[in-house]
Amino acid sequence: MVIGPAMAATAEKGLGDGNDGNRSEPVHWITLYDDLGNELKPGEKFPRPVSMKNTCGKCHDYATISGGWHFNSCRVPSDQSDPRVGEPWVLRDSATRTMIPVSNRGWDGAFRPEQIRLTGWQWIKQFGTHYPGGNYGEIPVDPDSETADPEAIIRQPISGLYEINCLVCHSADARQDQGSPDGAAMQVARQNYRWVATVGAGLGTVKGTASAIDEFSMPLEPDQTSLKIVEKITTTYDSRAFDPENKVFFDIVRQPPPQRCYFCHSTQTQIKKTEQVKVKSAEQEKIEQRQVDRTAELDWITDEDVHLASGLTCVDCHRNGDDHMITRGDTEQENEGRGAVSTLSCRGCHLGDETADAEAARKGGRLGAPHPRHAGIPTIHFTELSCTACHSGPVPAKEPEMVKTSRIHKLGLHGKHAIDLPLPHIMNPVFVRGQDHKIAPHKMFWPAFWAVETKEKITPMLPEDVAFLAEEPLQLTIQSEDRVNDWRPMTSEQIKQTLMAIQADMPEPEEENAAVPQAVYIAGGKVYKLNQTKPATENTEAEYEVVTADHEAARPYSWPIAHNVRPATQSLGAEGQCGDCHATDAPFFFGQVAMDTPVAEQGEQGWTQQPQTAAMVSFQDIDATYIGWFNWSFVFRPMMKITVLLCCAVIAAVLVLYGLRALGCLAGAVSDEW
Amino acid sequence: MFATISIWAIIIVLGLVVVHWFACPVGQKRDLSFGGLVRFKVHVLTMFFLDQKLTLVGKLKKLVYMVALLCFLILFLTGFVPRLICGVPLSGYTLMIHATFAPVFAVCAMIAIVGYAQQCRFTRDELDWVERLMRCRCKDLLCNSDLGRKLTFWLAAVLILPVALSMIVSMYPIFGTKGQEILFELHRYFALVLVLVAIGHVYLVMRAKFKAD
Repeated sequence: MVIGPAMAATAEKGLGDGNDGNRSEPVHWITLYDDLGNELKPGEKFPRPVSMKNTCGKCHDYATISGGWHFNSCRVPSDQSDPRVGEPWVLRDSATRTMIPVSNRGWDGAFRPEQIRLTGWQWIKQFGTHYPGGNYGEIPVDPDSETADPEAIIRQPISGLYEINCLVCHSADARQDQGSPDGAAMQVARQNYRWVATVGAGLGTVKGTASAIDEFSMPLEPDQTSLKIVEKITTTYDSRAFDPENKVFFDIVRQPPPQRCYFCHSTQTQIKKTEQVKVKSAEQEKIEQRQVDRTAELDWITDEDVHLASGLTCVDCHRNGDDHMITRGDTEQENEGRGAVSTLSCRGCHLGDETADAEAARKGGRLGAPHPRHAGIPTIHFTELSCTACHSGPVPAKEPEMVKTSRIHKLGLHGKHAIDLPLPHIMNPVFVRGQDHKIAPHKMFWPAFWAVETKEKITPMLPEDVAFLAEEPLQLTIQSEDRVNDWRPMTSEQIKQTLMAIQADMPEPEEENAAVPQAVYIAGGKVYKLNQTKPATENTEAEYEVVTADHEAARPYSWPIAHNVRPATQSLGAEGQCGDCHATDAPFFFGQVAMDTPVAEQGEQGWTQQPQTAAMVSFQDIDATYIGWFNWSFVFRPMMKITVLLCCAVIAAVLVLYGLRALGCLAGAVSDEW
Repeated sequence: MFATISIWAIIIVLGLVVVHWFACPVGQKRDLSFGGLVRFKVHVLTMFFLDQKLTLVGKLKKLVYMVALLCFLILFLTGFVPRLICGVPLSGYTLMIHATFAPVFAVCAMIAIVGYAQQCRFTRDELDWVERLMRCRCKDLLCNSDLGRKLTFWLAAVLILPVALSMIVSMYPIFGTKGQEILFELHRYFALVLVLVAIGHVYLVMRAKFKAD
């Protein structure tokens, strides 16, 4: 193994852990190892795929790394919650009109996988394409466990473990392939988890699809399956990548370039324009005004974050040590007594951290960050608003932009497995008061799901369970092209029938006084329930109607955004523009957030939907009447300023006038004495 | 800190007013019976009405003076009470009331200052008082002089400027965060001094009125 000058071996750490101080990048001409721990020989018959755990783990502490932010959500205890809400995974199913925010971090509004009976195996199947491996993907299924997923017991020996793919982030090689038709994501789609890193790194090609392999064609023993599977899913290594000693050069960087982060952390604004469109029907051809999606054509006009534009990279601020606990830019993060970490936040970097030990950290201006003057901004803004409120995301508009994100909408997949997922409709920015009691721009969407309510507690149902129970009322067998606002629409009557179908399947509580579980549907900020209007008799069945109510679980899910940061001149309130937020119709407070829902009415003219909106101020813990009046006062503010300045001028003139007269009088009196 | 200073300063000034009232009574000895106290209060109240003998300009002047006092009272209550009693910064509807009455006060104060400047100008009498003060012959200064009333008038006129300007200037993009903090502190402390001076001035005006009656 050839290792560059930077790495120094220590007794406790791996060869690659830590840093001896040399700032050059270590060269990685390395031997590859397979998942059995054997040295990889590309020329042998049925070679096994490369294992990052065994290859990188030779020099790096894999166990420590696997505790990092990207890989540790499966380890969060179910009673532990992280108050810092983030982007969730979204369990989606357009057929059952389901959009469930999922996270194991205990974020407010998101459901833990176990709450919706989503096993680790299912989790990987749902979200594995935009994911660096490890976490749920690396938990071996225990066949003897009562809670083990039967599918995982059978399929995991075939697919293998989805180990951390270090190259997803640390490869600077432009051939690192996550999203192409033959790339890593395709291996995930095929459940070829064991082969993801091999294909992603471009080391070779893989033929075979794990999900298509009949488990009965494999040996009964899982260990034997693991050994034999490489004969069915074959790996052909690119011999050019190996040197005569079977070593491979990996272009590894300590600081990943932004392009690596972007695969999972991109946001794309949906650009829609109202245009005249020719609409042809059987009888006539007419021209209508319609919203046309121009995202693909106009994506090039969008800008990147001002920090990246000025030469910084993501990891300049989002740093980590061996533990891979990447700093998240919190102003409240631990100082560690040096200010070295706290000054990796907006406030710390630009303004400094007064509590820091180091003089430089107290001064701020890290990495050349300019010190903001905030001229004319009353200081209350700094206690009420996060930095991002004025500086990040798109400039607020009357209606927030619609955006797609890499992970939720699976952006970045090309070719035959590219998918266009319009839902969920994520609105950005919506100004919401966060857990730190500051108003910040958030991304937001309205969850929609079928659930069971017991004693006010709502537990979502998995889409496949709903589909099984309510195939008919949800018209799942009918291929319908009808769409309302991208949703497959659904009437109140369908909701009623679906709720009745789910309710009918619910077991009666065993105890006499136990709460009766009730089927509910959540969408558009409301919970839909059945209300009995007529009790059942001997000859007739009970009659129901659907009623709506408010519920905590129906609230929109939102998470704060930090990027893209706009240039200072484009920040809200720059150059004394109070009206950016304090105009009578300022979007910051009065922007209208559409309450996205599939519920619509079907009439002779087709599907119609009454759009409902919520003002942004309703998410800010501020009285809307008050802020309305307050913003009205800004209409008169220029007059007030001029009036008071004129008054001050007159008072000053009187003071000068009588001051001079008094001086004259005094002078006269003094001269009289002489 | 500011709350403590404010509370103590106001208590001390009010205490001085009370001590002065009893130490230097105006006119004959006060009737401390129930009826006497009621009559006294009615008398004080009537001082806020417009005198029949005033001219139109005089009536307007007094009206403006009264409105200025009312605005000042509202500004004091909205500006100091949340901080001193509730311990919270000025915000919400209280802030709006404060900001609404501030320009009204500025206009009324300006008119009152213009209107009363001539009456409150320093004359040879005050110069005599100053001379006597310098020769340590200040007997009757505390009881019979108009120096205090005039002095507080001009002091209040001077103090209105930093109080008003510190807020108005902060609304322009001139001062950064540190400057904003300093302007806010200046506003608070100058307002406190203005309150103390105003208490003294109103007391001395009423005292002069009693004396005239």
